[in-house]
Amino acid sequence: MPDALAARSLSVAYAARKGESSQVLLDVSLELEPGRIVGLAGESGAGKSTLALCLMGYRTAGQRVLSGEVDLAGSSITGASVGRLRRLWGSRLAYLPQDTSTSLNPALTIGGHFAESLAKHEHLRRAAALRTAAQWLARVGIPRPEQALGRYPHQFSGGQQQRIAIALALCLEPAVLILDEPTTGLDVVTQAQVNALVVALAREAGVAMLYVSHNLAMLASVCDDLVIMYAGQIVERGPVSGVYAAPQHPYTAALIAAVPTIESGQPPRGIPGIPRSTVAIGECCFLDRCPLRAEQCQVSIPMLQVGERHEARCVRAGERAQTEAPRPAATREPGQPAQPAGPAGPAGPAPGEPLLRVRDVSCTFTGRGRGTAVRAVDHVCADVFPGRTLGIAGESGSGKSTLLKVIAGLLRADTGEVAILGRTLAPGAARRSAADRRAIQIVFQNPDSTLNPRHTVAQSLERPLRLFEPGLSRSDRRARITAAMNQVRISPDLLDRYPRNLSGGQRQRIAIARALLADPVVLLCDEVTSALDVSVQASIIELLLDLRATRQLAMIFVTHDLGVLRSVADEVIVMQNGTVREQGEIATVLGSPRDAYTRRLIEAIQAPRDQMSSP
Amino acid sequence: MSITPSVTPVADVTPGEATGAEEAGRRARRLRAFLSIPQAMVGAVLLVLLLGLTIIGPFVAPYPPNAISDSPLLGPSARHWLGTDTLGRDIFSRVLNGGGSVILLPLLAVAAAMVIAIVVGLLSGYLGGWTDAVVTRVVDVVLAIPSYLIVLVVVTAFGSGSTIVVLTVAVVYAPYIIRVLRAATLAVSPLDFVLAARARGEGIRWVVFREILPNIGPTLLVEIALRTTYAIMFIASLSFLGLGVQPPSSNWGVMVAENRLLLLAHPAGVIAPALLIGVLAISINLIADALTEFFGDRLHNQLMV
Repeated sequence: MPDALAARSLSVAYAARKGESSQVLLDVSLELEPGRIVGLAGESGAGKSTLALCLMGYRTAGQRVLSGEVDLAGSSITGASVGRLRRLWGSRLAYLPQDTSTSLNPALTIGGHFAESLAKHEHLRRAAALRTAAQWLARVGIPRPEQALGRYPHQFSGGQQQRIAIALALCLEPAVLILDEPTTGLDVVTQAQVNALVVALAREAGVAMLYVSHNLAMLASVCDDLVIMYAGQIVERGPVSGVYAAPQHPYTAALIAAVPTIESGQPPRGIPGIPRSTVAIGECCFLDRCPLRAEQCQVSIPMLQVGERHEARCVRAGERAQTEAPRPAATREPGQPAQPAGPAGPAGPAPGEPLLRVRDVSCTFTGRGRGTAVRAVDHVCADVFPGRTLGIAGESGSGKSTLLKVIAGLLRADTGEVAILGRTLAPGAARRSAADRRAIQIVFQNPDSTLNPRHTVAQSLERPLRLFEPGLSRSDRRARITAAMNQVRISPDLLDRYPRNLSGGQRQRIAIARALLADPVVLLCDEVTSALDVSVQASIIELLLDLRATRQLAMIFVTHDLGVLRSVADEVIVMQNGTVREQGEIATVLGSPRDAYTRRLIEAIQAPRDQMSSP
Repeated sequence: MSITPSVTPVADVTPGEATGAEEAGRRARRLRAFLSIPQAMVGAVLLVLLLGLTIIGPFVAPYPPNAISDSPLLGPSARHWLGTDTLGRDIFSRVLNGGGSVILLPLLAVAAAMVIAIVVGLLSGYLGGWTDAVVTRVVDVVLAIPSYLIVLVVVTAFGSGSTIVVLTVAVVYAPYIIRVLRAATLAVSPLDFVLAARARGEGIRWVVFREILPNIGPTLLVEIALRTTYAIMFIASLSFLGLGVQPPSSNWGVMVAENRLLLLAHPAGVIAPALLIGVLAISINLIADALTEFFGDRLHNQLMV
């Protein structure tokens, strides 16, 4: 059977300033076959999105194809006219973006979306189009499809919107579907359901799919084959069972090690160094970050065959199979106890009195009108001990962030109390003493808004010092700020930068430094890594674990990612709809969950598709 | 697997340098980008010409503005380019002298309105609750009363004159601006850096004026430009009605009122000042329009990132 879509030796450059150009893809070859899902992974800036758009034949200003071509069912689309591409897009080649707010028009009913594209490509009348649409909605699991056709996108949940977008992409029966991080914004349970749907549809409809994501563990559970990109080159490719279980390229191995899993308490490992932004010619592209670099790496490395359909771009590929222990087996049986707690936290019972004591806290949001009050947090109790981390897990809307805001004094609780070091805290931050305020510091999720965009790094960092230690001289302040920046491993050269000139990881580090400068005893972390690349996430987790150990900090770490939680937390609270479902030692809770909801969260993390898809 | 944890300082990704001179260069680039919008260029050129006329005018005028220089109602001639008015004053000299108050009074009024609106609007948006409810209701009530009516009542009670007009216009315009700034504040208040400041225990003045205010800059600029346009027309209209600047001042609005009865027989005395008021308002309106386009989406999310 011919490949549905194939890229052959594709090299692409973008025009940069003053006639220069920077090359972003180098000699990329990729084949998509009907009914199979290929996963494309790599850090931000590796060229994943450029490749995905090139495969669509999509051209942007300044983009030049230096060599190679893209073939759709045997005929090239690289130089195709815009008119021809318009006819192909949708009908033969479909694209599913990350955010449904860009794929669904909020002013159009669901039926309207289907009618429009079926009329354009298949010349169907509205009634016929709606019949087809209803069938597709039923197929992707939208309840009562006939009624759904008359409703608008905002009347559906995020997961349902993505299902509808998938139905819309597939209703024209395209040969190829490219999915660009389609589940990134969804919580784990919904994510698993959407992914299961994608796999089922690829098989049934025989569509060739490319699934782009930075989450290698998730790709391993969804895809048949994996393709790993770094600096515009494919560095490793092959079946999931080969690439994920026995990675041959050091970059692949590093990416896998950066993803925290719930099986072991091993903290994830970051990848040192900076990803390069342009392709490398005449040397291995991973040279400057590679732990195994040697003399022989300073030439262009070809793809080397290391197994059946498994290739890697590393001179030592093939040697590594024996020396590397594979990832711990990812198959789980319900009730199987997890391994004992790793080096993540001090073992043994928590020492003495809790630093922070949360007793019977409830928080209600009142909406407009009767009966709209929502109890976001419902009689929650928790204790945090010095040098230990309390993890709070749950889906979005479970009340975990609300609880954090109550502790930080940003929201007022209806009942209950929060006490630190035995002192009961006033409900609002404004009414707490300076000592109480500096004892509790919070770090937020979104790296784009955690720092004031109009303040320099120095201005942001000096506030806690001015507030809590007003007597400090200018030079003392500078010294403290420099020390804090070193502690979060940020160069003090960045002091005069504005946040727009910093990466997401750097902004998050500075937010942590700002919290540390207040000299807290409890650090509240609200999904601090969920907006970051896996490798950056791993380095932030390393940093937090390190700080906890050196400063005996207590932490509350809120996240929906159980893998992250496993690597940072000692105790865990699982929350749903504001109530605590399960509470206990992290290894016990994740290893042998007693509550049905906890089990559902754990089962949502799928095992890699090991042998099930070998041809 | 021998990848060691990173212990050296990590500089994740560094998109571009920006310090000192770089920042100044960035400003210059932004200004050039702004002026490349056609409305901005046309508006800026017109505004500079009019400001030039207003500033240099009094020094180059052939006659003092209120001097009776010749017989009344002469037509345009070499001695009197635009003729003379009913009292025999040189219209061209009066036009050259009459721009100052037309431009200055609205600017003062808008500045005063801005000060009121920034304080009330930001506090209302940030504090919410009762403060916000009261402010919103009062604003709604004031907006429901026609502007001219308020000015008429105030002028009747306190007498006419520049100071009264400036203060009244400021009070009349403040509610419009309060509404816009309150909405902008509502968009910025829930952002993480504001929450961080609150959790740290920053005082309300710091949070409102140092954390929030710098981030609603685009909204503020557009609002200043737009309100200035309206204020120019409004104060010129008041002067025309005899409620604002008083004769014998050479204010353009006053000139239109004085000469309007002779519009057909002697049009220069009306058309010249009316035209200048119109061009002034249009130039600032074009700039407001260009600002809206320039900031685009950033006006919606209110962040100058």
